[in-house]
Amino acid sequence: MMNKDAPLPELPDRLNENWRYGRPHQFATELAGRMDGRGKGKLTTNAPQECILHTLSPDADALPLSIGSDYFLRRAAQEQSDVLRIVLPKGEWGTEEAPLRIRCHVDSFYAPRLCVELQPGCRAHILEEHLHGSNSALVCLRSYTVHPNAELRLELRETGDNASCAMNISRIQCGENAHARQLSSYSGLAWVREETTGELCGAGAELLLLSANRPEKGQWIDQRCLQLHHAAGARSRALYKNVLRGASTCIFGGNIRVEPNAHESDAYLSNLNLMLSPEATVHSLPQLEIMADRVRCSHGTASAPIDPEQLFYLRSRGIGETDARAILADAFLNEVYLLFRQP
Amino acid sequence: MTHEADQNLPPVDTRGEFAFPEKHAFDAGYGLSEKTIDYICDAKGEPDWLRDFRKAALRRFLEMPMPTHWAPSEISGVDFEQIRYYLAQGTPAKKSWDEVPEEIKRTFERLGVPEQERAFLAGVDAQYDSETAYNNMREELSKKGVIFVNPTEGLTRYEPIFRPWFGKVIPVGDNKFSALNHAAFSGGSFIYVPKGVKLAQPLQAYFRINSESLGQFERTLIIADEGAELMYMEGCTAPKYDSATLHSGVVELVALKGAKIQYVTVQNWATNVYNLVIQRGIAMEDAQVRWIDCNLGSGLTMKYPAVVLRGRRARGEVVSISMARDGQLQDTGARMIHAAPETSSNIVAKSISIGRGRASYRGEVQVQRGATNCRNHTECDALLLHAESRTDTYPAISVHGNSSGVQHEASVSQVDEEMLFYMQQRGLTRAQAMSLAVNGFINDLINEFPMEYSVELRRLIDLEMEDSVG
Repeated sequence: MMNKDAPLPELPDRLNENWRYGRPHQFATELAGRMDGRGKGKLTTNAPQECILHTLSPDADALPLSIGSDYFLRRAAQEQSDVLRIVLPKGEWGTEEAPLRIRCHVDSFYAPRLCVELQPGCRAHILEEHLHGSNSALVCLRSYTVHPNAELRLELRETGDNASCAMNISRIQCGENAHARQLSSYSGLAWVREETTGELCGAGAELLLLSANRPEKGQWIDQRCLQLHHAAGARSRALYKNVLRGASTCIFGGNIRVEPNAHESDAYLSNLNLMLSPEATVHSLPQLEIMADRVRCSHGTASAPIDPEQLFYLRSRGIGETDARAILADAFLNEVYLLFRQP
Repeated sequence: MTHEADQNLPPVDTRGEFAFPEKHAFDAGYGLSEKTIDYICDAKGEPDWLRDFRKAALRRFLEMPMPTHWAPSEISGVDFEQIRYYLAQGTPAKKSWDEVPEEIKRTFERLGVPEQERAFLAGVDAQYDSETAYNNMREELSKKGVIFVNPTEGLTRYEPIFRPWFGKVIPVGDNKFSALNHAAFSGGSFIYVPKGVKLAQPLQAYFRINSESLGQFERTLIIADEGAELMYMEGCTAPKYDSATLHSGVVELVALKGAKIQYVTVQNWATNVYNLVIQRGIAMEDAQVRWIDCNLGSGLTMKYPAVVLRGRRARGEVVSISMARDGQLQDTGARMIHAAPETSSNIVAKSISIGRGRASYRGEVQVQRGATNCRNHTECDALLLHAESRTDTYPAISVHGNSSGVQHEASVSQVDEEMLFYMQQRGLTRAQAMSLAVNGFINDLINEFPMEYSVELRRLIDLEMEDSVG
């Protein structure tokens, strides 16, 4: 349980390695300032009433793990604008066409806490939407616990009005033979920071973290993920793709951490960026921390403009330059959607 | 040709795990203060501007924090008060091995340095503790205007050449260890290769720490004028003591238009040595800077050779091998700063972790605003040999604009059991099979070293493997 009297951790500053390139003096300070006002927002779901609880279970609902933002984690937990706890028992919940919905409306500042538990044998398709009102700010603490032999497909869509900002601190725990995949996408936000910790706690667990974004103008997308292998014989993949326009900036910090004794782990991390503007900037920090052997871990990152040969191929078939660029940008991101949808 | 006298010498010992009793005429004692600076300046007979420069650097060093927010925690073990900052025999560098004091000469003979000089080097600088004991270069190179001296001589005799670049590639305030080196530097090499001169054979420096608790702060500045080419090689060894020894060098390379510099390091310090070295080169238009780096020794190494690509079409390259055994942390990597259009760079790093050893790659690639059409490729591979071994990769890549292509890939693997089984089935012991597999893993990179070094390197790696896997 959190000790509410404990002093707050320090606000992230330039010495915080997890905020490298993330302008903590600007964005963290601004967000902390907005947390002083009372929050307004609404968290709703179409999950059956018997699955919904509005109080937390001290045993099941540990706080998510932050990646450099303990200050916001603790402040948001204290704030606790709203709590939504969903426990899904064995069975099928939602489909690709009609997923189970969780909707978060943000009016001004809002700090909800969402805990979803998939019990053994449960299969769930969940669409989580964060909808921002004018100039709003969100700090959302998200925990998804996927018990042994359960399967989660989770899509997170966050949309704003170009002046809003958001921070999602998330934790996805996978038990033995549990499978989880998350696809996140952000549009219309001035600044967003996503921190996702995926924990592989049992043999045969599989985690797929995906993200596809098209930032434009002066938007900032700052994404950090941690693939934490606690148990031997688990598998994780992360693929973060961005198409950058205007003076947008994308920061990606990913880490594969294989704990001692998590032998035979298999992990891959990839960050790919398509640069469409001379003013766009990308910072990529893919990391590996391996403390076990018999592992297969690797990462790759690339940032490049559109391949002129691909452009030439489309242009030579009568497609105008603007359309050709749009087709290639769509094709670039399509890999992420296909991976999310594959059986 | 082998000298008759050499027959009686012990065999070459490139690990360097031996020591001779200390016989120093100058000893600045423990700790660093203005008095220590005065002592060093008086002992070296340095001009007043250099004394003031050192003191200003000392003030920066005392003000600056340790790089703790990202550096490994092991760095906190450096105790600046328990380091001796200047130890020297008080004799100028000799041009002939016959004039070098007997014990120093025997040290370098055991390390095989004079033999290498006779065989394939254009010049040698041999540093023993804080000062150069031997410095010589082939006469024809002097006639071509090549300068190969120690820093004090460089800054006094050749001030107009070296002073404009001294501390410009790596400024005093770059970090705490840069300030420390600017304050206490002694020994190292200052090299100038005039326009169009291409050195067919490499120049070599050998850094030897003999005394306990010594801080060695060598300083190297290499300037290759327009169209010049050279290769410089450095080797390092020290005996093992119970107390910590600090090696904190600064190496600055300046490759002017069309010049090429290759800098080769084979580091094999004892495990009580903190090896905290800053290496950076500037490459002007069409110039090339290439670091070839091999780290086998030391308890903690933090070393990230860098190239600032400042001129159009400049090229930078880092080839790095590191091996971490029990108790060692090899925190190595590379930095490439693309500050001009059409520049390209390449980084290849391979590390091997044995026992409880930890090898980390830490790198930075930047494509700055205005640097259009740049290319970078980075590849780092790690091999883990035991269950307790650890490896980390911490790259940082920043790209601005839509005309440059940057790629990074890294992987971690272990020696394939099937491969070992195959070799053992053909009569090799497990240790021999493992050694062969490790040699195979780094084979491509070893071939990048000059032939004499690559043979030696293979032998050293075999020795390390014998101890660890046998």
